[in-house]
Amino acid sequence: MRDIKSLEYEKLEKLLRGIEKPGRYIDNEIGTSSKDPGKLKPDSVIVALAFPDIYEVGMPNIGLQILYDIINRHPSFSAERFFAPWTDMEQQLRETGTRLFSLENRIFMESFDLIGFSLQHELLFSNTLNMLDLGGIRLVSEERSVDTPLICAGGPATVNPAPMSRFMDFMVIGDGEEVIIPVLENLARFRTGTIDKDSFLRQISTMDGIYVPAYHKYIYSDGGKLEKIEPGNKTKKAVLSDLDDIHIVTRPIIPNIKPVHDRFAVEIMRGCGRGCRFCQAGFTNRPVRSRSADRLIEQSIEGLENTGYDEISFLSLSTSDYRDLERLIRGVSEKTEEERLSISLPSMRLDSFTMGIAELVQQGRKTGLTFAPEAGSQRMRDIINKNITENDILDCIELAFRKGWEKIKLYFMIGFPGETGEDVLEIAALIKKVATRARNVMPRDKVKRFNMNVSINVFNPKPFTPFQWSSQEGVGSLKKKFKLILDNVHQRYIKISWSDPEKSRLECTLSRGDTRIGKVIEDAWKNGAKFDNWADLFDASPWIDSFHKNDIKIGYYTDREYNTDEILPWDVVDIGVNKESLLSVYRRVRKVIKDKA
Amino acid sequence: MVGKRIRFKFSKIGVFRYLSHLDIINIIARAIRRAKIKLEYSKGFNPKPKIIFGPPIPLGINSFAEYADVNVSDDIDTKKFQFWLNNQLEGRITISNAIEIPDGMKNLMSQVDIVEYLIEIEGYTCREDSIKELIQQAVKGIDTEKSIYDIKLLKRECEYSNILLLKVYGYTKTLRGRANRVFKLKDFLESLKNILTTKNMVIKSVLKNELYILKEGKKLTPFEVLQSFV
Repeated sequence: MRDIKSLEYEKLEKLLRGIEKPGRYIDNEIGTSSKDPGKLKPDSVIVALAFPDIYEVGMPNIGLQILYDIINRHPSFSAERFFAPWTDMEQQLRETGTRLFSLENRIFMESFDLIGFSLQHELLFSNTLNMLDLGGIRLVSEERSVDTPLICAGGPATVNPAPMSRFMDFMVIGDGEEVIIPVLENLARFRTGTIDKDSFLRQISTMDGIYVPAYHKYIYSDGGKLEKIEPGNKTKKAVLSDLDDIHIVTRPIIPNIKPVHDRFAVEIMRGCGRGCRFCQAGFTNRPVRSRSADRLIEQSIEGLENTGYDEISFLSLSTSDYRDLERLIRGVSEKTEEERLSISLPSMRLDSFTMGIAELVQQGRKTGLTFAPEAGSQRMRDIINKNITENDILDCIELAFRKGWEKIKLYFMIGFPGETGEDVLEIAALIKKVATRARNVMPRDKVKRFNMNVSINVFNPKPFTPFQWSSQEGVGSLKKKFKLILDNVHQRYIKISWSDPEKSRLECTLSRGDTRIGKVIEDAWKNGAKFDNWADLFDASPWIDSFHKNDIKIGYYTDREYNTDEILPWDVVDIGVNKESLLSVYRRVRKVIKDKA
Repeated sequence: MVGKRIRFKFSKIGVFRYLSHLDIINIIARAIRRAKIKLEYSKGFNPKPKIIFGPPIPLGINSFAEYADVNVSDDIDTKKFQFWLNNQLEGRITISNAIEIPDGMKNLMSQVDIVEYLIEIEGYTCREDSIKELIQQAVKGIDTEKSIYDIKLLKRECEYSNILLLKVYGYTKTLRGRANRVFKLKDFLESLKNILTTKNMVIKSVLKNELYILKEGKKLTPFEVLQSFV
């Protein structure tokens, strides 16, 4: 018999008293499939799938649903879920001395064999440590004893494994679908005593996609530069070569409380063929792989019938680039018995949104329309390789608003390399042009309902993009640029919001950080950092204090142009894109910027 | 149009009492769709399924008396409706009964006048008349007299029990000619708790037990009112 400790139901009831949204912690959704811990065999492995944000944010994540499905389908493995408890629940847990427990069987974190964190972005690092601490698990991997659970992480924020290396026994880089089962098989051999922990880690480190921090040494010079990483071998990212090999999760867990995206999600394509130079996902998810439309139609219908959702979203980095999109939408709308099916298409390209798509989508309940011109001026769009013209943008807007849309959301970024005040003014101008064009072609009775949301993000030079050597613009000058946009757009039907540049600065530091950042993250968490991605909870001061304490300057990671020959913390990973080719693009861009100046 | 209106009753107990009114609506709407029962939708820009639920209760309170009226566009037998829906809810929420609503009858929300709560009080040692006084104080303490249709104190049948059972009938809306107020459970419980604490008594449990419609001076449940409709 395995010794699995869990929280009694009565104690859960007590914890939930006075909690704002108890529905986050009660499990009991349709679609859960964890195994009964009392019936686990000695060689079974139980895995905690931990999402370091709240339930409503984590549940729509398809990666979580895919891994949960794969693990629980296996006869001897079981997966349960953990989410970050909201601050009121954390207080309850700490005050009552209750350790963090899983949703399904309320098993304490310490009783799991493996805890896998999903790191969707860098601002979840502090929450990750907070969850480990709430679970009663030592943060630093080398301080953990051999019988504590192994801790790993995967997701977009692990492409540079260095910052979180301090805490992780291993990291999964790339697609996790085909990696997870072999890892668990090896883990079972370790847990039953067939092999020791080191042999386990050695064994899995030979697989594509597995990075074991303990086997890599970052060496810094006295001046504080990263001098060498030993040994020099690179971890190749794991690539799922054929998406059709992995069935869509057609019986996902259906949340009982409303998640941020309340719909059936279908990944139609992975990777993006566009090559926008700021977009990390575009480079790290290569090559582009599509699912076949026929199978998508079949599995989408199956999923809608199994779940009862009345909305479906077709996910990818650039959904309108999926070659059979019209056939897919038509196929799903025709075959479903749900007459009110609404179709949501995030990530539409302004130059591949067609009349056909517009017509098909508008038959159901119209979801919002979202486009990302990213930059205002043609010069800037050329620099970032967003290959669309102003005419593309305006024609597309016209098409959509003629078809009956009433609202639109636009995404822009400021702070790109070489961006001037003029370029920023052109963002303001484009916003107004879009609004004017939309209002001119809308049916007259609808004009008063027109509204437009504009979201201005801060450019983050990220690893594995041609801009990975670029500096990030300072907070002060970003604020001026944002104000410039605000000062030039006054229409009451246009709402403009932007991301906190302090937060972007932190994100940039954490994404380009080296192994010394681990201690900074730990100390920032000790100072109270958590929920850094939540606008009303984000506080830069614990981070600033932590950088001071560790005698590390944030500016080292954000403010400077990197030397093109310096060793980068993420050089330990082979992401599938040649560094030389990134460099040649970077050089070309720099030349364009210099020629203008 | 072959559609019909169906009134059904379900319980919201255990962990499901932690789900909000809106959450339950979504859970049931999805289950209806999974059961392939065709729903009628409202008209307009953002069509919503036509499901009307009874008055909501605060999060965390057990209920044996949740009701909903749904418009379906199929001519489906109510027993089948109940069976199919329960199948899809997989025991999480259980529909205990479903009855067709006759044409011309008002919907649930506009019908219901009174909600009945059962409140268990533990630690009772004093004589019964003094506890009555305490409860009167609790009612007066928050000026809720006008929101209560009736209140009854029952001693549990078990001789040695120190548990009292309180039945509170609160108004769910203001009624013509009564000058009443809407009963607020949270306020009432707060006031009751404060007074009981002084006598070392506690509220052990609260249960929403039934809904009533006042008709010619009689209290009828949402199902009884269907049968009384001529």
